[in-house]
Amino acid sequence: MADRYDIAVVGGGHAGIEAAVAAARMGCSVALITMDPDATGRMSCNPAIGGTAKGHLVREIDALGGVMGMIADASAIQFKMLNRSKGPAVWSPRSQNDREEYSRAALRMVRSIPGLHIIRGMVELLHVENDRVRGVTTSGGEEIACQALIVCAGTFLNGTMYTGLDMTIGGRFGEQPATGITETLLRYEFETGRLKTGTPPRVSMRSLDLDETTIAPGDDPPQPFSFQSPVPDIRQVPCYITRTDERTHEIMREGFDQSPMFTGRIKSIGPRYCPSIEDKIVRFADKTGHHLFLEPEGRDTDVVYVNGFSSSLPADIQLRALRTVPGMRDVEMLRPGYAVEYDFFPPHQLRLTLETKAIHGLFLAGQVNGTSGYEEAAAQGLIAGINAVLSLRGEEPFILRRSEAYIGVLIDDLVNKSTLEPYRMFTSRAEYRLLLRQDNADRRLMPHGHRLGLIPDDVFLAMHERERQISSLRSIVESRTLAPGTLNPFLRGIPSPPVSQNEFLGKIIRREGVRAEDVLRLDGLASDPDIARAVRDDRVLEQVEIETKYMGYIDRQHRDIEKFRRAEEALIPENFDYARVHSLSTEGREKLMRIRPRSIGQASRISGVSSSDVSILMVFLGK
Amino acid sequence: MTQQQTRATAGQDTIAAIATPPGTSGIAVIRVSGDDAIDRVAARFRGADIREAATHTLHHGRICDTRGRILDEVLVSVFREPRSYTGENSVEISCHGGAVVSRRVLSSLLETGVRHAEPGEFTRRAFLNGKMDLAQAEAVADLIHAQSEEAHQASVRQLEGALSRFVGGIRDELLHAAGMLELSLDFVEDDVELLDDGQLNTLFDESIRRIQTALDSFGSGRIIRDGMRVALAGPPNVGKSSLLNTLLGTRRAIVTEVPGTTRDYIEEGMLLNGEYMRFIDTAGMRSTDDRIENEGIAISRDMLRDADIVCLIADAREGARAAVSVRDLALLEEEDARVQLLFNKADLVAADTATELAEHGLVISARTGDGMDRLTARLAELARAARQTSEQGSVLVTNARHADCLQRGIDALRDAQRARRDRMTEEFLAYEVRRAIDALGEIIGAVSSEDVLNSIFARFCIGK
Repeated sequence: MADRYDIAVVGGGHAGIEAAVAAARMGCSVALITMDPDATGRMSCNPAIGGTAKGHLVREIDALGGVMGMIADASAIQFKMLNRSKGPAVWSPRSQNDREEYSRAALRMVRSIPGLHIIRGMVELLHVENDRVRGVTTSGGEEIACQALIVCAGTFLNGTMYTGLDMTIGGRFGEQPATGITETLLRYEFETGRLKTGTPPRVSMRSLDLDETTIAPGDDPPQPFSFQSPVPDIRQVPCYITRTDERTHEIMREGFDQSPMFTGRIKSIGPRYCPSIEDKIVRFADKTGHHLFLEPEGRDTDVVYVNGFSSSLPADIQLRALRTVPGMRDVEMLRPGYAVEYDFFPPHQLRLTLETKAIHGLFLAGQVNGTSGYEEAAAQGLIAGINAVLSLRGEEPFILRRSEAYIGVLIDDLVNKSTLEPYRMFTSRAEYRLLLRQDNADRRLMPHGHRLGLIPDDVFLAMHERERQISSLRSIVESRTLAPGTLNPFLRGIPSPPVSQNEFLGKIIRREGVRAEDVLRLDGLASDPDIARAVRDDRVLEQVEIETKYMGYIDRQHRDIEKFRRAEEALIPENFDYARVHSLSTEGREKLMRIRPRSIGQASRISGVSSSDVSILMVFLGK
Repeated sequence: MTQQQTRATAGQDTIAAIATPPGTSGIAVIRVSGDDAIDRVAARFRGADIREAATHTLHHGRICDTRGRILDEVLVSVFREPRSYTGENSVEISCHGGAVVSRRVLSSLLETGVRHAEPGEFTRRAFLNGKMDLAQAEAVADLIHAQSEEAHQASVRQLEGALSRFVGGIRDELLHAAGMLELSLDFVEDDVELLDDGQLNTLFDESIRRIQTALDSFGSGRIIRDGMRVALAGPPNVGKSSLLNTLLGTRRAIVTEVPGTTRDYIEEGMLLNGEYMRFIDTAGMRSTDDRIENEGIAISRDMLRDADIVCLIADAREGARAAVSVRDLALLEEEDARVQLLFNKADLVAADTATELAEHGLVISARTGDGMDRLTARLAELARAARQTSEQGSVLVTNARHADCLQRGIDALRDAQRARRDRMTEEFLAYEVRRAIDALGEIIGAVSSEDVLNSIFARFCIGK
């Protein structure tokens, strides 16, 4: 008799953790099947969480009740808000983490969830009956029955690692690949492809001459990822910046004839946005140097991650090249960089819930869908976990719109554009970037997280109270005025030109160099109880300041969204017969039949569907 | 499955409209389209039984009204789906020209339950039934509006892609800039090369200038497509309507000896020396307390402002001073190059007075036709000048939707310039640049929105 669970999750990486935790918290019995429980949440590449756009994803995951932010906060050795010199929409939090501690914190988190069972094993066979998932068999012959299965196998599906012309079978350094899942899905006519990613060498901290590098410290005070974490009280560990030069590149070129990429051994596509150092040398031949970031992999470890030096050239070439870099003359290489090639399933085969279109109850999340990055994986895991539960309950699916969250942009892009290269999130992918900020992720998404049972009542109520204060303060700011007698001494100190008559607070706050907090502390305002309370809450003040300063842009983006919403709400019937519409282009009709968009809006984002195809659909459907 | 069920517009009602332009012509064509088009026409047709007629056949007969009275002698063409303009069953009725006859025939059909078509509805159905794509539908709209050979050439040039290439070029540069702005946001720590402030400034200035050139051509583009607008203005009873009638060679406007007869404006088009001109006869202008008449004068002023050529007409008997007071009343500037002064009723003044007036304007007589040659020559001259003012650019914008997109592109780029001056950071500049890219993209079909579609179909005239 097989063990029986509501939901089984394959893989204990960043996607698997979120999927398993969310499903268990929503009340399902969950089996998390992993080849090695100690590798739970392992950071297989850089020892950092967040960064541009990825930081937004982490904040959104947190606001929905996911756990990545909390695990990152618990294991961070440095916090930094990137893009501080720009506007608030592109501020992105990032942490440097202790690699081992991150895994331990993740495992502690997973173990603390009632109803979540960790099972050691490798899934070799999927059981499907009448196009519905029934369970899995592990390599040890163990049968696990489930109603929904979430596959988060990362780079492990038929993973192959390359260093120079040496090839090793495996999904991650020192770990076995997973075989069997791809083969099962191929029987159900799933399309599959190969992608490639890489990781740089690790070096010994003791062997570095840090005086020759530039120090990159964390922020003071640090800001955590989680809306539920306190301000971190840690001693931060800095990173170090150095640079390659022509000598480095010269040595790398010697090894090009042994590159698995350049010799054609690896044919799959790697991330354009995170190129290997050899790629950079070839593609930007006129650049005489490239930045390298030396990132310690922990507080008490000697291991340093050489960010920017991802390579699959032979180990001796990597070492000789590194030794030309300032600060690394005597560097000791603990482990060479390598490239890994793995199976993925082009994601147009998914619904926006991440359930496969072909097999009911089968969800795919993370790198198997062609994304790169921990954060992208975690976001998908969370959405897959939530939707697996909702589908078992027979409830409406949970789909975030592009106008609501980066997570919405991510999944919408995956399904409609069906990536051919590893997909990474960027702020530029979000049309409504000025609204989808990391600072307001709680206001945007906590109501969803609370409704789904993933955000505790007290956390939600506190957010709700802040929301009330923000709105009350915003209306005060746009309706109350102050007299020149109060304003001018203040404006002189900024300095900013004086006013000659009573002026609205909002207009003053919108001036360059003026902070909302200082205006609200001026005489005659502090006695207002709403203002007095708000001035004490930094999160309220921050929102009021941003919404006041950027009011014009925010209003315009809201209007943009209104237009977008109309297209999203122009629904296309599920069984719509595209063959009936003769005037569609052949490619457009084929793509529409394959992806079956839910709305006119979604149809317009499918690659291969022209604007005239969309027009035809709109006229046809009378939208 | 029958053809009927697979056709996109199956089950929609039957529509009809007059397909030929309004005005005097030998023949007017009424187009009827829809499932029941042939049956509905048959109900009012006296002649062969067209209900059984094959497709692409022509039938002679008479159209009657509800009581069986003959309205006109007609030729009826029968087209069966899918081999018609719309892809539906269609009938085209060729009746005798003239507004009254064709309207009566149409009314008779509408009484049978046929609905009057909305602008562009025939083409919309053709488009839906896969008879043409969106670009062709737009070209149809332009061809409908094309009144002269040059207009035809402009549409052809546009279809060949001159505008697309021009707009695409600017859009590519903006896309590049947007890409660089995005790089600075998404790759904070990489040492990427960025656009400096000066380059951005140059790009915005240069793009605005180039788009503006294209936009400026819209005036002349419109002239080519719609014809030259020639407004006739002057005090009541100065002979504007008579002049119009003389020009047109018919007694078109109501002409009486009572001042203020022509209260609404009258418009009539004709080819003059190869130039298509639309003459607009405006309400007479005089100082008055009559509220309705004053409203008419206000409307006239608007029309004068929008006209390509303005003929200010004064009574030759009242001398040069009269012309000045007409100009003042019309609120026109003395230097306005569009304006031509005319002294009418030259047959009622002495020869030396006429000679004197000739220094201020053209002296004509609408009644005797005296001076009309000089007037038509002068109009042709003014038309050439009006056209040349803005025709230097190689692209010619003739389409109102395209002009709107270009204008929105410029607006977005001006916002980008403002944001740059206000030292807003890259994500705000990127936002404005993207708006410009989207606006330009609408011209070449790089984005789609409901508005694009609506504006395209709204441009069709009834009957197409």
